[in-house]
Amino acid sequence: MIIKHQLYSFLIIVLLGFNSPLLADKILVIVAKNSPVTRLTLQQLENIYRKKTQININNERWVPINLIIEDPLRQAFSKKIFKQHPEEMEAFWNIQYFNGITPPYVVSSNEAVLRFVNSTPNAIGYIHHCYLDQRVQVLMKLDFNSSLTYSCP
Amino acid sequence: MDLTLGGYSGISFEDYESGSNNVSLDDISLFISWSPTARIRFFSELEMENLISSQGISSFSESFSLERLYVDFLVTHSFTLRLGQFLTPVGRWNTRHASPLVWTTSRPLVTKSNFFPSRTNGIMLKQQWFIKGNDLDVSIYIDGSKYLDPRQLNHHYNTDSEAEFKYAIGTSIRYKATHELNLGFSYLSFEKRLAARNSLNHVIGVDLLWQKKGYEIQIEWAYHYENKQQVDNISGYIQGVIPLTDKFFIVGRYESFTGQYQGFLDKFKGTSHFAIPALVWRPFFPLVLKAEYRFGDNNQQLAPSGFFSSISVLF
Repeated sequence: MIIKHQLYSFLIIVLLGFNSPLLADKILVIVAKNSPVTRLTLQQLENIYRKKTQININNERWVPINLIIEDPLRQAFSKKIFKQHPEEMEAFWNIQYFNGITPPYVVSSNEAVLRFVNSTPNAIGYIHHCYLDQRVQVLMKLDFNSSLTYSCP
Repeated sequence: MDLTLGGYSGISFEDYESGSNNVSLDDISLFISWSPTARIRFFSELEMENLISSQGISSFSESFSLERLYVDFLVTHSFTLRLGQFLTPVGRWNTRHASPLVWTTSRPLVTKSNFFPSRTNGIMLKQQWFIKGNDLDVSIYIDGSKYLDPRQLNHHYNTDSEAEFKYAIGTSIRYKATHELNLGFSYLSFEKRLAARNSLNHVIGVDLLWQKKGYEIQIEWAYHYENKQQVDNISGYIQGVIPLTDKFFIVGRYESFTGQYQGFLDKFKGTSHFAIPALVWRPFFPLVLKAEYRFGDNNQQLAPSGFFSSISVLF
């Protein structure tokens, strides 16, 4: 009987392991519920976050928002979009600063991103999928190969 | 409404093998950026250059300059119209020349204003395209400094290095081939305004920047032709950066010049090679300390050998 239980446990662990891509963490790129923008490509998203594209289809200024640099979601987002860690972007942002362009605003939590995006016209942000609620709409889902160590509510 | 204030400053020390040396407060630069609406952005940079040095103290009027003053109209998400005075977009160095942003105290010869004026007064049209996941930016600009730059009304330039455009037309093409690799092409046709002579010039340049995990290779090469004296030259540099730690970097640069150069008072003909090994320390943002030694062959006139160091800060 004990051996049978151990076998079931082993099978569950193995199946969960093989199915990990289905359970993988997702980063959701979000805008406000009433945003006129309903889809973006990855390249458009990169250019918004680099502030290379500064206005949207309604000719209003994008307001991209980042999590703090230590947040694992920020690290994963940066790797996915820019193929660089946030720390490696310092030189890029220094040059932009020299031309009067500042990096995206930074907030400290997923909840803060939700509140900011919900209350700021043309804001765009990203959250861990477990924080999604009715205040925002999802523009894009970004999958990751490696699982994040992340605390969900 | 979005208002940003910033700037940079630096102190440098130059010790030439010829025996002369100089310590100077190179730059006190202040920039202001203001976006009153989503589609309009004003930018200005005021600069005090070489205000205090071991040679003496310059007057305010001598050292003060309006480095940049322009307004950007974001016509669409990919098309921008710029009006005013801006940095001439030839190569990479000139458009990001602030001391804290570049790897060496000395500036590469090919980027110096002896070859093309660093500032343009006029209009620039910039279009961005996104091609198969890569960015292509094309800019076309026209300079009318003869009519637009108030400093030219009563100013006679005495050296090539301080001369401004009389008029110019140019294009800059930037292609981001991958996340690591950026390629550029520049063409500029211009007339310089000098007390002694006006001359029609052409510059064709290519540049490359590759960056990965702190490593970097940067190349700029340009061909320059001046019709008045019938002189031409080709010059450029290749520069590499190796990170020793996340704060210490080794930088190496090789430069060459071949052809003729006709300055205001001096003339050079031949080939010159020179190189710079440098050490850069970034102990914390935004402080940068640099030390380098320049040496070469037949380089005393164009880029004299010596030791250079600097401390600069971005704020």
